[in-house]
This record gives sequence, C-alpha cells and structure tokens, in this order.
Amino acid sequence: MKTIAIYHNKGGVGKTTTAVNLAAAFRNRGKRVLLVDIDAQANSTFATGLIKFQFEEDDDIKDKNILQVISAGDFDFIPEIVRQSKEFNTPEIDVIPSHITLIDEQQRLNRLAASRLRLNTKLQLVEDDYDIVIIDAPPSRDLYAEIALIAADYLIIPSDMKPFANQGLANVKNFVGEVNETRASIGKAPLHVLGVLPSKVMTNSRYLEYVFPRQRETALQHYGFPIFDTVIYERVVLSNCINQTLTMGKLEIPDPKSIFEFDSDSDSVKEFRNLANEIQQKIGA
Amino acid sequence: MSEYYLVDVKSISSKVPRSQFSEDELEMLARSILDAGGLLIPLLLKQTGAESYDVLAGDRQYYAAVKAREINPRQAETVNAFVVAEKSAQAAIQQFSVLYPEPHDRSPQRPPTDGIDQRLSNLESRLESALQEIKQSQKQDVQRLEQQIQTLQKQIPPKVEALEIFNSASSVELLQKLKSAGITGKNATKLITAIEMARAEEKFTSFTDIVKRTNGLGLPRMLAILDAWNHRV
Repeated sequence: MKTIAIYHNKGGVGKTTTAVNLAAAFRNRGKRVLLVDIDAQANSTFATGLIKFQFEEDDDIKDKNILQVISAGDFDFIPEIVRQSKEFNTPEIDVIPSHITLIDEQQRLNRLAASRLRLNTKLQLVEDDYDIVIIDAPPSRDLYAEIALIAADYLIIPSDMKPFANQGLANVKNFVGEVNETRASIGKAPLHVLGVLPSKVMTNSRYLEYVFPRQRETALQHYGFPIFDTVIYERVVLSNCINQTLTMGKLEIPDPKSIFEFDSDSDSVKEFRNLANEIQQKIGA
Repeated sequence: MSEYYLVDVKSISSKVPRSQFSEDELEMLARSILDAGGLLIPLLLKQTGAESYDVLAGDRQYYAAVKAREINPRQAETVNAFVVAEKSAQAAIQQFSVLYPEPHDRSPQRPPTDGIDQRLSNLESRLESALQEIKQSQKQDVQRLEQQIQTLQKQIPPKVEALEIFNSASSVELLQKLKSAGITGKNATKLITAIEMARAEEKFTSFTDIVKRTNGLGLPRMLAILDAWNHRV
C-alpha cells in the first residue's frame, strides 16, 4: 500500500481535480484505490458523487466520515466508514468522505493528544486491502493537513506556478520539516516529496513559451522541490466533468464524473494517464 | 510547559496498584465522570513515548477513568490530563498535592510493613497487570475478527437486483440508473412518475409485471435497460 497526500497551502491550484482524477486513473489500471477526503470543504466528496442530496435531512454523511475516523481510537475503523463513489467512474473507487462539521471540531481535536496519529494507525490496519491511498488535504496549515502528512508516504504539491503559489512553497517546506519531527517520534521515515505538479496551467502558447519555463525554474531553484514532467492544463472539459447535473422536474441533481468517464478521448485523460505513469515510476507501484 | 490534553486512557499506565483504592469508590467516581461529561481534576502525566504516558499524580482519578472506560468504552475513551514537561514535573506535582491533598493522604507509596504485606502487594500488582494483558489481547482479537468479517462482507458483491431497483430505488436513484441506460430528460421524468405510480399500487413481482403495469415502458425498452445495467455491473 502506497499513500500519497495531495497538498498545497495555497487554494485554487487544482488540488481536488488532481486527487479525484488521479484516483480514477489508478483504479482504471486495476489498482485497489482508497480516496481519503480530509478537507472540510468536502470537494472530493462532492466530486465522487457522494453529495447528491439537496436537503439537510437527507445528509447520510454527517455521522460517518473522516471526523469519526480521527476522533475515536477503538471504534470507527476504515471498513466501517468507507463507501463507494456513486456513478463517478467505472469501476467506482472507495472513499472516506469529509463533512463541513470538521470545521467545528478542530478545536476539540487539537486538544486530543492522539488525533494526529489516528488516521495513520487506522490506515495501517487496511494495508492489505488497498494498493493506492490518496489523501486530499486542506489548503491550510492546520491540524487536518498535519494528520494527512503524517499518514502519507509521499507528497504531491499541485501548483499553478504563479507567484503566490510559488511563494507558498516555502511554507510547505517548513511544514514538511515539522511533520518529519512527529514522524520520527513514531518511527516513520521522512515524507517523500514526489514533487510540484504544474496544474491549471494555461494553454496560451505565448505564456507557455515565455512565462511558464521561468516560473518552473524559480520553483526548482528557490525551493529545491523536484517538478513533475507531466503538466495538467486548464481545460474546459476538466471543470465540466465535475459540474454535470441531472434535472428532474424542478430539481437539479449533481452528477459529477471522473474525466475518464466524462470524455475518454480528451487531452486531459492523456495528461492524467501520464501523471499516473510518472508516479508509478517514482514510487514503484 | 504543562499542556492540557485529552489523552487516550489505554495509553496511560500507573505505578500504583489498583487495589490501593476501594472499588466502590472507583465505581462511584467512574459514574460521575460519565455523568459530568469528563474528569474535572485532570491527571498529571509524563509522556514516555509517541503514544504512552505515566501518571505523575492522580492515580485514583486514573483508575476511575479506567473504570469509566470499562463501563462506556466509547464515551470514556479519553481523559482530561495535563502533560507535564520533565523540568516542570516536580513543581507540578507539588502544586497538585497542595491543591488536592486528600488522595495523597492515603500515601499510595506507603512502604509495606512486613514480608507478607510485600508479597501480597506484589501478587496484587502482578495479577492486575496479567488481567490487563488478557483484556488487551482479548480486545485486539475481537477487533481483528470484526475487521476480518467486514473485509469479507465487502468481497461479497452487493446483491442489488434489477427488480429491487424498480421496487425501492428513490426517484433520484432511478434517474441515475435510467441515465446509465441512456434515458434522460423528459423521457426519464415521465418514466419515473409511471414507475412510482405503478409500484405505489402494488410491488412489482416480476419484469413481466413491470412492463405490464408501467405506462410507456414497452418490452424493447425494458430489455435495453436491463442490458445496460447488466453491462455496468
């Protein structure tokens, strides 16, 4: 089992798109995949078709999500909380969903001495059930991000390569350093940074010729992180596949799809296949 | 610095034997911990590993917390505690003994007066730790078994038969199922209304029954739907 966290403390850099479609890419190769959403915004949970309800009383995630996994030590193990994505991909993937209540609970969990280690411990218990675990971490430097980086073996940092995202890499670097201290205390090797993944990159040819190479060079020189060869470009099809809906009378029901399910001939599909290839080479899965 | 935390009861150990304290009193304290929603005088702990702690002061409360966890494993999984750094340990223990002298009056560290006492208390603590070990390993066994059962259950393919979908799927589920068979928009909405009307009268008993009683669902279309679902599964 290889566990990969997707994290950058700058938001809007294509984190969720990367997490869910990468999970689909591995699943389509026959890997047993678990996607863990630990971002209170629950974007990955939505993108895998688990939030189709329109009204609070139909919310079936509230009492069975990542929060319970982190809160209890002797209860609420992965097999009890996990569910399958819905009409997201063929075949579907396993998901530990997130929920907006994570925001309220952070203060309490911060006081809970063992909360940082629970996800790590519980993932170890299912190491024979999955080949790849992908953790979608929140775009902040908080308890939940820490939990994600403690549980993971590898880190992918999606970035649009623009100045703010690049400057944020310094924070990521410090954060990884802190997390490595905690990892050492539980006998875990330091987090292996697979690299910065250029994502949401504009397809404008002048930009690609003049600006992008310089931004790339900066990330490499200043922060010392490796950069992925694969680039995930910003494409209409990539946002469309998440924004699909079904209408019934007056109701509009979300019907998000993986890029593979939505348009298997698109350029984005090729990019995610390349990404999966590159990762498999790096981690030997 | 002394930091205030919720610590897993199972990660704490005490050097004082449980028998120093009356079981009745522990029981009463345990109930009050559960009823009050927590221990109101936090333990003083020293961290000895990533997930292990020793009691510096408050052994009586500690055993009450253990008892509370025996009564309600979920609610009393954690206990309020101060985790004290090495250098402030002495000062913390002193402060604690001034504020809460009563548990210390029992002087748990009282040296045994003669040989028999010594042997008894050794025996006691050995029994106690043996019992804890048995409990621990039994709990682990149960957990492992439960997990194995769950893993097995997951391998059994969920038996959602097509007939069951027609009979009990919600309208939203039906909408998605029909979409996977290529039926969308107004057609789907109409068909769902027809299905819901027919099944409200009486549950469908067979595919023939569905075709017979659902307006606008002919045999060719029914076959197309079943083929599409079959393909997906």
